[in-house]
Amino acid sequence: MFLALWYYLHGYVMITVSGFSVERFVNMATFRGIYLWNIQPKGSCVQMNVSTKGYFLLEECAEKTGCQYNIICRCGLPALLKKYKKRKILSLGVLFFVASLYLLSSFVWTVEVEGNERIQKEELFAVCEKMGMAPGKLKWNVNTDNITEILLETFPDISWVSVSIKGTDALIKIVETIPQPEIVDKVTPSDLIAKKDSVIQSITAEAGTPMVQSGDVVKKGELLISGEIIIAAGEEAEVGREYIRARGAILGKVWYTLEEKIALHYEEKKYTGEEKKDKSIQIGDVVLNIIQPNMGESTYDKQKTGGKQFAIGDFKLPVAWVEETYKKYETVQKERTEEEAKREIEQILKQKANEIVEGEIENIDIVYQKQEDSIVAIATITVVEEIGEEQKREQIILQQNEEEL
Amino acid sequence: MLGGGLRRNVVNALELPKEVILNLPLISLTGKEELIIENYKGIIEYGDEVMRVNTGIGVLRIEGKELFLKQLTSECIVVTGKIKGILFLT
Repeated sequence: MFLALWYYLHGYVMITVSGFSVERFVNMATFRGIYLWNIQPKGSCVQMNVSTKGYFLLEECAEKTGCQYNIICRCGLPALLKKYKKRKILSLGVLFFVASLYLLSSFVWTVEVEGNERIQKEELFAVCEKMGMAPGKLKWNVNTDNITEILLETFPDISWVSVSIKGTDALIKIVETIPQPEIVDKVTPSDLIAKKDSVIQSITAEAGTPMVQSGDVVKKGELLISGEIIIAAGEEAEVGREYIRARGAILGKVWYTLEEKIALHYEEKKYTGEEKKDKSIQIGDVVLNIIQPNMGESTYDKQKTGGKQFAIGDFKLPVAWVEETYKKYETVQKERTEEEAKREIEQILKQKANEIVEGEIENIDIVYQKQEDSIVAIATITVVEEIGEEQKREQIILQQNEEEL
Repeated sequence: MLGGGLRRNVVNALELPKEVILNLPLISLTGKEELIIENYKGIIEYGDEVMRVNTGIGVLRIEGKELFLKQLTSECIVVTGKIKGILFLT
């Protein structure tokens, strides 16, 4: 195997030997250290391979044994190279291929992040791009050590980072720090005040003095639980005052109003079922739409129904195949009764209420009004929600001070 | 030169490789398809079906079909083909 490769690289000659005693010729050649292989009889003569070096020594053997030999062909790499020496375009092509392979492999084509949980990929990419590591940048200019340092500096959440470039892929491996626990400030004195105008439903004070009772009507900003505690010894004898952080849950009823209008006469799209497909090629942001379906005067909706993003491996090419369907429709005039309109409006209002409101919806009151060709509904939504909001005590003290001044 | 008997005794006693000291051919056969003869002297006859090789202890006759000399160096011969028999002619 290796011997064959060796002789292939050095070149060999295929010859046919004819004469009275080919055996003697072969013996003599072998005796002189000429390597012969693939010896096979071909009719009256024998064909064999001999190394180029050995070939020059064969003449003597042939003379002594009275054999004749002819070259069939010169084989191996040197002969092949000699043959291709004349084909300039081919060698140019080979050179071009090698050069382009080298050129294309000297860019960073993809950047990947591994191990990020809280940090967004995009943020990391943005920093890397600033440092010159992004798809399409020369990889020789990328200083991975530098990027590692910058990443550690920019993101305090990263505890370990490694940036490596393998081939044309850049890989950022990071390990994030343990998330910092939320520090609850129990020391700074504060009060709980009302977020909104409401009627107190229930009040539970965990810490602090409750200032209102359930059923009380409170305005926005009113004090609900005070952080001030009066320390009393026995009854009524005030010993001192302590300021703490007030905590508690205050549920209050809050009212919201929503308005919705719905027409009694309306237009609706009715699809005729006639469809036409449109295929186009998208290169970057440019859409090449060569054949567009002829829809004439009719109205239609466009809908994306298919397509394909072309990619080489994981690398997405900026070329995509887009398939769209044109659906023909007719506009139909429709009418609904007041009852239907009311039912529909209720549905819409309920949906909207669920979207807006944070707390629990207790009741929805809807008042309908007829206006010309439409129904107007005004909904009053009763919601029970958390209305407590924290306010620092210092601010209150400061405000008081200002008032005094 | 020492006699063959003494030499043989020494080789046997010391467990030396016989083919080197006694100049014997080492023939290894792989199935029916490949025959390697080391330590040979020369080729006497070469053909498609019969091949004769001279060795230190006599002529070796190889019979078969489509015999083919794959390799030939001063140390060994590699014959491939469908080997039917090997025979010492002395």
